[in-house]
This record gives sequence, C-alpha cells and structure tokens, in this order.
Amino acid sequence: MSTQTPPLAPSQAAPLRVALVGNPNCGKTALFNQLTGSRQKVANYAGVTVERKAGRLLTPAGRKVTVLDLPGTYSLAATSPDEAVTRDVCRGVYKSEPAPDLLISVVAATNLRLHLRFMLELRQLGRPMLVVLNMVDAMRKQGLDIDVPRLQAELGVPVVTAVGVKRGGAANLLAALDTPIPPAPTPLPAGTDLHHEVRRIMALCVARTSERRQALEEKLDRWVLHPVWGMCILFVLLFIMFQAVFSWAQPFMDFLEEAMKQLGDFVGTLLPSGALQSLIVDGVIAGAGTVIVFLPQILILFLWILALEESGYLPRAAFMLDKLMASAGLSGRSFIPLLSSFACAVPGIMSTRTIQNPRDRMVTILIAPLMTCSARLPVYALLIGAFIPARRIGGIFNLQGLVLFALYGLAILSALLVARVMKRRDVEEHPLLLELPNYRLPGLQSLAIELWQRARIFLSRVGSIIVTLSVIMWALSSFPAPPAGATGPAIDYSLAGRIGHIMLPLFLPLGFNWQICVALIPGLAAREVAVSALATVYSVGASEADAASQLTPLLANQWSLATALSLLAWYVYAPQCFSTLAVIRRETGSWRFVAISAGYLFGLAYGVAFLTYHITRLITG
Amino acid sequence: MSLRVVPPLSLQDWRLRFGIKSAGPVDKRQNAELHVKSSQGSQNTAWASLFCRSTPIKQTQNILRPLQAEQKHGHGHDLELRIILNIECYSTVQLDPLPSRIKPTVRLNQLPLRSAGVIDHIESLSPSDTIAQRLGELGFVPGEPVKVIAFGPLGGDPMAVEIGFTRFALRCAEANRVVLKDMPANPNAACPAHPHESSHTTAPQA
Repeated sequence: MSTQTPPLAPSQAAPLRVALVGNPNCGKTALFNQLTGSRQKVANYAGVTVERKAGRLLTPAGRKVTVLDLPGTYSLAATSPDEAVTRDVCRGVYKSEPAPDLLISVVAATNLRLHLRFMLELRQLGRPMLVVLNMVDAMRKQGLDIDVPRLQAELGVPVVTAVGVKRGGAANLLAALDTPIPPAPTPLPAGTDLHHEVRRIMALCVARTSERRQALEEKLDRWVLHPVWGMCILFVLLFIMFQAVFSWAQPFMDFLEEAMKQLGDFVGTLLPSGALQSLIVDGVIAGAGTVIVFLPQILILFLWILALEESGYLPRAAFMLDKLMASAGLSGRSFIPLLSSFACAVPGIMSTRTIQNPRDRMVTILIAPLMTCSARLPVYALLIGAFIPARRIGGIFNLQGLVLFALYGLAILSALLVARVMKRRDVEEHPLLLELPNYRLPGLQSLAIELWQRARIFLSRVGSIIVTLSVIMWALSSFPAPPAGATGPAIDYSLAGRIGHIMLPLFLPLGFNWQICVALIPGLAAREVAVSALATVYSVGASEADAASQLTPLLANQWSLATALSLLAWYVYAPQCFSTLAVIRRETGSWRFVAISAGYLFGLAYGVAFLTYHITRLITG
Repeated sequence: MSLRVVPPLSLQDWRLRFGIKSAGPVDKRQNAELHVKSSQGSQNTAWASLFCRSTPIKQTQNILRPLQAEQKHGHGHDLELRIILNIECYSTVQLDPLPSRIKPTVRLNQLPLRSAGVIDHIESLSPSDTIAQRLGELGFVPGEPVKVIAFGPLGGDPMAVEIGFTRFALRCAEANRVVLKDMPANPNAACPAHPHESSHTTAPQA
C-alpha cells in the first residue's frame, strides 16, 4: 500500500480516480458504458471484461472523473490473470499505479448474498468506497425489497441504486460522484466471518414482498440442462445458426453481388480502357467487392453469437459440453474463449485470461486459432457456393449449410484432439466452478449497436487492408507486362505469376494451382483477402470484362472438386493470420508458443489438405 | 478394533475421508491398485476401477473381507489401508478404529436430482486447496442450503447446483468437497449398522 488517499475533494486539475469493482456479471461494464459513453462489450456471462479499461467523464457539477472498469472477481484471492488485475488495482500495486481515490463496489441486488461478501472483503481494504446497488429493477421483479438507508447504515458506506442497462440508470451514481469522497470505512476486526456478517445484514435489510420468483430459470433449466433434451437444444441451436448463415443471407448477398457487378460495369464504361481502368475494376472493385458480398453472412453469424451471449445461454452450453472438454483435458472454462474465437481468435485468446490453470490456458490459446473465425467464412462460402450444389436434403436441410456445419465440426474435433495430445500427461485437477447467470431477453437496441459495430469493423477492414492488398495484388499480377510477341496469358509473365510458379512445387501435392499459391500470401494478413486475391488474379488473367463478379462459376469450371476440398481443408487449419500470432505472443509472452502454434497448424494444414486431395481424387476418379 | 465396511462405500469416499493427497481428478474411469494389509502381515491386493460418482466398488469389499475375518478372530491390529492410484501419487493412512468416522457422509455429488441438502463443511484436500477456498468464496459455507438442478450428459459430470439465488456448474470432484449435514430422512439410507461388526468397536485404541 503506497499512500493514504486524501479524503477531501481533489483539486480541479487532477481528475478523481474511481474504479468499478465487483463480482463477475454484476453489470460493471454496463455502468461504465453509461458513465463514460463508451461502448465496451457487455454480455450475460462471467468474465466478459478481462482487462482494466479506463474512461473519462464530467459530472453534472463539472468534476473530472477517470473511471476504471475492472474484471469481475469473486474474491481478492485471485486465481486467474484477469482477477489478479483487479486485486492489484484495488491494492494500489498495479504497474505502480496509485490505488483509486474511490472504490465503487458494484453489487447486483438480485444476488446480494454472494456479492455483499466480496463488497465486505473490499471494505476490509480500508479505502474510501461507495456501493452501487445495481439491477434494482430485476430485484423488484424477483419480489425482493431492500431497505437502502438501513443497508447504508449497516455497511457504513454510502449506497446508491442503479439500473446499468437502462438509459439514465446511473443518474444516482453520477450525483454521488459530485459529493465529497466519503471517509474510509473502519475495517471489521480481522477474522470476522464475512458470510456470517452478510447473513446478519441481509436479515436486517432485505424483505420479501412476494413469493420467490425464479420460476423462469427453474423451468428453462429443466430443459436446457437436461442430459438428453439439453443436448438436442444445443445441437439444434448451432445447426440453425449455420443453416441461417446460408439461407437467410442469400437474398442480401445476391443483391450486393449484383450491385458490385453493376458498379464494375459502370466504372468500366466510364474510364478509358487501360491501366487505370484495370486498377479500379480488376483491383479495387473485384478485390474488395468479392469480400463485401459476405457481409450479410458475417452479420448473421454475429447476430446469433451476440443473442446467445446476451441471453445467458452460453455458460449453460459450457455446462453441457464440459464432459467433451474434459475428455480433451480441458475444463468447461475453456469453452467461452473458444466460442468467441468463432468470431475472431484475437478476443478469444484474450478472454483465456479467465482460465485459472496456466497449462489449461496455454492449451486453450494454442487451439483457439483452430476455431473457425468469421474471416474464414468468405473463403468457405465462396468454395462451397462454387462446388457444393444448393440441394435440399430431406426437405429441410440445405446441403451447403450441412457442409459448412461439417467444416466447423471438423475444426472443433481437431481442436479437441490437439488438446488431448498436448495434455496427455496432465494429471492436475481442472476446476469448472462456473456461474450460470439468470436468463435475459437480448435487447434489440444493444444487439443493433453491436451488429453495427461489427459491420463497421468489417467494412473498415475492407476499406483499408483489403483494398490495399487488392491493389498490391493487382499490381503484382499486371506488371511486368508480357514481352511483345508473347503467346501465353499476360499474367504468366507478371510478378504474381512468377511467385505462384515458384511456390507451386510445394503445394502441387495438395492439388493447388499457382493462382491459389499467389492468393495464399496476402491471406496471411487477413484471411478474407485470399478471396479477393483470387478474384484479382483471375480477373486480370481473364479476357471477359465482367469476370470479376463471376468468380464462382469461373472457379467451378477451372478447379477440380478435389482441389476445392483440399483448399477448404487447408483453410480449416492454416495459421494464416498475423494478428492471431501477434496476440499469442502478447498473451503468452513467448515466441516459443508462437512458433509451436504456427508450426503445428501448418503441419496439420498440409497433411490434411494432402489427404483430402488424394482421397477425393480416388473417390471421384 | 475393527474395520466396518458399509456398502455402498466408494473408493472416492475412502480417498477423501482419509485425506489421501489428491492425485488428480477422478473424473473418469481410472484403474487403481488397492493394497490392504494388517500389521500382522496379511496382505491383499486387487485392481479396481474408480468412477466419478461414487459407484460402489465390489472389489473393495472382496479385499477387506478376509481382513475382517482375521479381526474377528482377535488378532487384527493397526489395520492399514493403502490406496495407490495408477498415477504415482499415493499415501498411506491409518484407519481410525472408531466406527463413526467410517460412516459415509453425504456429499453434494451424491445427492439425487432435484433434492436439497444443507452444507456441513467444505473439505480441503490439501492445506492450499484453492478450489475449496473458492467454493467458500462462492457461498458454499456451512449452514447454506443447496439444491441439485441438473446432472450433465454422459455420466452425470458436471452437475448444476443452486445456492441462494445463484446457480453454479461444478464438476463432481469439486462437489465432492462439499460435505452435507446428515439429514434425518436420508434417502441414501443404505448403511444400517451391522450389529455383529459394530460389537467389535467398543474398545478404543490404547
């Protein structure tokens, strides 16, 4: 402990430093977003926030405040890296940062018994603090009533009520930030049984106004956690998710595709024939356009993931799949980081900080890139669209959706096998201890905001990385121009053509042609670019003007089924993403893990693609 | 002095009751070698399978029966039970002669579905058992009622329990640390006293 904080209001110059502390899933981040106007991710499971986040705000009276949002924890005896951050910040030893001037202990009114205990533990630190009784709306619905003045008297610190998820729900807290910092409470004598104290306070302050109402959780969990029906529900949910990605998105994709084609044609007629026209049409529009087409599919995937996150279903899915995870030597705790990796491995790897066991955490980090991230979706969708007929199976299932489901399944199965191999000698106990939160109906507004953010991230990626790489690809495949009197296609003489031909011997056993080899390189920066690179390579090489928008039929004509399946298999495994490797480096702090993950992923990709190619060739003849 | 074996007594019960150092999760079938020997030198060894959810193990009784017979004839002393898990960790324990210690306690993972119990205490497997500590922080404290909500698919591990307003998913090895109070109407009443065996238990060890 460094310095005692000044109990008086600080000068106008230095902002007041406050920290939001509390149990997981008590609504700290929702409050943080309310206070600071930022849009940090909020969801309904423990461990959404894994690092310390700072924001600024100005109170109604004009006081400057810096708010820290801390990862939730059950206790200051931290068992995982994210909890250690909270412990260190509260104690004032985090990266030699002084302790916050005021600890705001966020307590969910719906779960006082658990949350008050941690609040009392915080109180033992003897720092100025304020208690926010969050989710008072949900508490009233549960038929509970809390005597706030009495609670305040018993705790010896100010108590304000809040509804973090409602607009204006933090007004009381804002007003409280304008009052002088309350004096530090006197800690209870060491060795006091905090649970006992909680029970005493609750008996005094909490009254039940109506019968206990947990009927919803009780009824739903009977089905959702049922050994048979629960599995059916989980399977159906995931299945519909992948079906939806193909079926629902189709009209939007057709529209976007048509729009891109029109745009290409329009620009093509507008510009004089030559290098500039080729750059815009073949490079930018063909490159970025082919990726943009997949926006509807990505948004539908995210809509599902976000709705599941908000509803409180995810930890229950982790419960259902714990046995499976245990068979791979992991705990259900690894499930949520792995599931977020379906969106993108980068946040997925970061959320492994909630895993207590360091070995479990490392293995989870190593297998997270195997989860099929949304950047792979364009590649899968392109190849499935080109090679798998859109047939109905049994009247309801879309064959393309089934293949996509199988690809995701293959990735999951491989991840579990890899984890099993890595943990074969592990005899340690893997704790689960996962809180199952109350169900909540996903709010349409927050879903819309999150989706819009996803769309923006995607479009800005298209606008920056993908357009740039497409232009580079275009340049590489257009220059140098073929010598006079050359007979073959122009692209064979270009740099891209040469690079492709150099790489070809390595990838020929996988059935790849040189165009694929070229497309693999920019795919390292962002997987989707492989699609746009293919579009560029083929459209530069093609004679027809509108080849760009017709990549699908073009591929269907030029590649064999074996090549397509082999490329799909390659994409299930290949570690083609620099940002993932960079975040592995950051989270593990060692290049060794980067090398291990890149190495094993390449090995798997090569091996499986090889097998796929040759087996398909044997079958199709 | 005698050893009373009351069925159903699972191997996991033994392991925890006698404080054998944790040798990893017993959350899957594991082969275990059981050595039981008395100070007189008679020994018995057998292989048994360990199950997660305290499946009674017949072999346990088969091993112990000859030793019990030996005791009945009056020359059994200092019965020693040694359990060696197939993972190298093992420990030797001295059986307490008092039968009360041998009576099986009900643990959270032994409760049937949708039944409730009251926590008696949390058992730490080692002085630095973080899982036991965390259980306490999560509200698993003496006197608190708990209710079993669900058992997971395939073998019933993990389990979901409700404590207060909170629901938690626990693995059985974690739930096994939660010892419940003896209920007057214990559904698990499969352990009536065996009169002829308990008669040997009167004299405490010198």
